[in-house]
Amino acid sequence: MQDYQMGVIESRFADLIWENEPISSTELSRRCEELLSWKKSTTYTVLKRLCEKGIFQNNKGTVTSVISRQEFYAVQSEKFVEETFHGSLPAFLTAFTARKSLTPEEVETLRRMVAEYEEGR
Amino acid sequence: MEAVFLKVLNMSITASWIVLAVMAARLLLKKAPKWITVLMWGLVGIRLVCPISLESAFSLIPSAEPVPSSIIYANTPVIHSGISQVNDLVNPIISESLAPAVGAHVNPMQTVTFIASIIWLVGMAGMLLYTAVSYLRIRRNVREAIPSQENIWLCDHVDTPFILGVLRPRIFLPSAMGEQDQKFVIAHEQAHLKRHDHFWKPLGFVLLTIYWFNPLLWIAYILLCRDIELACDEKVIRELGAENKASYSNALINCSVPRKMLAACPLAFGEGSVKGRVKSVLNYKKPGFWIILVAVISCVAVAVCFLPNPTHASDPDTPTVSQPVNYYTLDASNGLDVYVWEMAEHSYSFGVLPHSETPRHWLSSELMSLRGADVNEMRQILASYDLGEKDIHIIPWQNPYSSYIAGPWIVGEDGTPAEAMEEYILSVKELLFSDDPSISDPANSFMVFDVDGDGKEELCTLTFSPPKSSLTSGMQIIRFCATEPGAEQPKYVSVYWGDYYYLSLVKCEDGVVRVMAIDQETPRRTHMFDISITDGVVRLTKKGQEIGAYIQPENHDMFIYTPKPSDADGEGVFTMSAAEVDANGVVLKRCEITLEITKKGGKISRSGMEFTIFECAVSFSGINDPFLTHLLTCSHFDIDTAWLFGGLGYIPAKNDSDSIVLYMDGEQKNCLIEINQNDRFFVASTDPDFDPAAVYKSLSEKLSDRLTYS
Repeated sequence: MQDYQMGVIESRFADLIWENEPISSTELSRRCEELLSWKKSTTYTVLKRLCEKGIFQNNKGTVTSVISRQEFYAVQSEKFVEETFHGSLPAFLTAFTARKSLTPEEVETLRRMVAEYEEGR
Repeated sequence: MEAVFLKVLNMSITASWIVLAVMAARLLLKKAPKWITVLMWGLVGIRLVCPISLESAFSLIPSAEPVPSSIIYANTPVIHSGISQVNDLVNPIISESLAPAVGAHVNPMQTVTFIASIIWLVGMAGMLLYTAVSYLRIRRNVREAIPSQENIWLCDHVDTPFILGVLRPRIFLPSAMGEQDQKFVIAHEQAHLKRHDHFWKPLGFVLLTIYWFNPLLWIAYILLCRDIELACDEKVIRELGAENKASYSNALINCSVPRKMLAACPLAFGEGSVKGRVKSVLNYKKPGFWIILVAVISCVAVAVCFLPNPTHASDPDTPTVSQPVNYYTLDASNGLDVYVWEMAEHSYSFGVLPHSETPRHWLSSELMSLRGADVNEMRQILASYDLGEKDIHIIPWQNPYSSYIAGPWIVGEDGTPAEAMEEYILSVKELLFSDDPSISDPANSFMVFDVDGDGKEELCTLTFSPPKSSLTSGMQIIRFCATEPGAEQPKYVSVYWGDYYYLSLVKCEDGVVRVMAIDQETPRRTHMFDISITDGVVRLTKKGQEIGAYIQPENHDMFIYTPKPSDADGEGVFTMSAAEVDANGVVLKRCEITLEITKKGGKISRSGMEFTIFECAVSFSGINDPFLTHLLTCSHFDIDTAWLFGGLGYIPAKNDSDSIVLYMDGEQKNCLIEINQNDRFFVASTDPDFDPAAVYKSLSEKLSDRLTYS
C-alpha cells in the first residue's frame, strides 16, 4: 500500500500527477505520451496499478491523489531508516554526514526542527 | 512424420559428436579469444540446421545415418551407429524384440517410432509454449519503459540490463542504475549488437526447441551462452582499454542476478557466472599471434572432421544399393561368403560376396540388394572360382524374414556361425558341393525314359521353384529338362510359368510317363499332364490346355501379363519421366523410370481373363530410397503382383509380401506403379512434360472400374 516501492519511472509518473492534480485522465495520458513516450493503454495500466495501491484515485476520468507526495515519501523514508538503521535517526544522520558534511543552512534547519519538536512535547 | 523424426534424431546424434569435439577444443583453448569458441558453436549450429551434408574421407563422424530410415520397414531392424560395440549391444535386442512377425501387418518398430515422434512433438510444443509465455511477460514489462538515447530504454522493475528484439533490437537498462555503471553496461550491450548475438542466441534456442531430447545440446547451449558473454566482455575491454577493467568488473558485480534466465530472448547483462566473468575480465590480455593461429587451426580442424559425413566404402566389388553384384567377377582372394536364405521350405536363394572377416559390416541395405541365385546357378558360380570348400563360408541370412532360419544374426562378429546353424550349414553345403544331382534341390523329380520316342532314353528332370522373391505360393517356374546321357547340353528345355505345385514325373498304369501336379485350390486337387513334343519343344498339356504359360528358358526374372485383347507389340524401351504421388495425385518427388520390354512370352488364362506374358526390367533413377531400390534391384517380382496391361485391368496381389504393380495404358505412353497396395504411387509417362496429377487421375479411374476380382 503506502510502502510500495516505486521505480524511477513510476515516480516520474506519480510526480506528474502530484504536480498537476486534479488532472483529467486524457490530459494525463497526453502528457505521458509527450514526456515518457507511453501509449495510452500503458498510462492507464500504470494508473490503475497505483490506484490499486491506494496512492491515487480515478473518479470518472479525473485523477487525484489519495496520499500527498510528502506523506508518501515520508513513509518511504521511515521504512528506509527502519530497515537500514533499525529505526535510529542518529545512526542515519551519522551515516549521512559521514560522506558529506552538513551545510550551515542544513544545520540551522535541523536545529529549528529539534526546537519545534521539543516545544511540541 | 516418422521419417522427419528419424531424420531429426539422426541429425542430433551426428551433431552430438561435434558438440563433444567443441567441448574438448574449448578446454584446450582456454587462453584463446572466446569469439573463436563461439564460432565453433556456430559449426554445431550448421550441423543441426543443414539436413544434407557433404561427404569427406576426413570425417570423424562414426555414422551418417545411425538409425536408418528403412528401419521401420526392415524385417530385422538394426542400427548402424558406426561403433561396433554399440551395434552389438543394441541390435540383438531390437532385432529380436522389434522384428515383425511373419505375415504381420504392423511392424513394431514403426509403432515405437510413431510414439517417439509424438513425444518429440509434444516436447517441442512445451518448449515453444514456455518461450512464448516468458516472452510475453517481458514484453508486458517493457511497455512502461521510456526511451533514453537512440535505441536505449530505461525500465522499472527489471533486475538486469538486457536486449530485446531481433530485427530492431533495443537495449533495456534498469531505471535505478547508476551512471557510472550505465556507461559500461551500454558498451557491453552494444558489443552484443555489433556481434549480432541478438540473432545467434535466439537461433540457438530455436534449435534447442527442436532437439530438446538431446542432453548434450542443452549443455552446448549453456556453454554457448557463457561463451557469448565472455566474448562480449573481451570485446568491451579491448575497446575501452585495460585501465577500465576494475570499473567494468564493478558494473558486472552491481548488476549480477542470482537467478538464471534461460529464456531465449534477452541477452541479460548479469546472467551467468559473474565470478567467472570478473576473473576473465581482470585476467584479459590481448591474445598473441600464435594463440590465435592455434585456435583458428583447431576451428578449421573441427569443421573438416565433423561437418562432413563419412563416405561409403566404394570398393567396386562391394555391392552398392543401386548396382547388382556380378557374381562371376568377385575378388575371391580371401575366399567367398555365400549368403543363403530360405524362401519356402527347401527353396533356397543364394548370394555371394567377397569374404570379409566381419561379415556383419555389410550394411543391411547392401545385403538386401543381393540378387538371389538358385542352387544350380550358385553351384555354377562357385565352380567358376578356383576355391576349396574351406575358403567358401556359408552364412544363413534372413532376407527377408524366414521362419526356416532361427534368429536374425546367425553368425558371430568374426564369422563363426552359431552352433544351432552348424547342421543347417552342413545341409546347405551338401547342396552346393555334392556331386549327386538328386540331392541338389529336393524340389525336383527325375526319371530316365524316352521322351521323344527316338529309341534312346533321356535323363529327364522336372524342377519347380517359386520366383525368387516370393514368400508364399503363387506362380512358379516349372522347368522340364531332358538330356541324353553323355551329352553336354540338354536336348530339350522347356520353361513354364504356372501355378501348379509339387510336380513329379510318374509312370502311369498305361506305361506312359506323365507329369503329376497339384494345384493351389482349396482343397488341393491333383492333375496329370501329358508330355508331348511339338515343333521340337516339349509341351506339358492336359486336354489341350498347357500347364502354364510357355516362356523362354533364360532370364526369367520378371514377368508381366497383358489381358486380351491387346494391341501391344510388347517390345521396346520406354524411358519415362515419373513422379511419386500421394493418394490424391499430389506430386511428392520427381524421378525417371525405364521400362525395358525384352521378350514376349506365351499366353495364360487367369481368373477368366487371358494374358500375354512379357518380360521386362524396371529401373528407377533419381530416387535414393533403399527400400524401393531393394525391391527393384532384387529384380524379382512375384508374378502375382507384376502386371503390365495393354488395355487396363487389375488383379490385386494375393499375398502380403512387398509387391509392385504396374499398370500401363494401351498406347504404352503412361504408366501407374503401385507399391505394396496403396502404400506408394508413381506415375510415369513417355511425355516429359506430362502432368502427374492428371495421369494419375485418369489411370486410377480406369482401374477402379475393373476392380472386380472375386
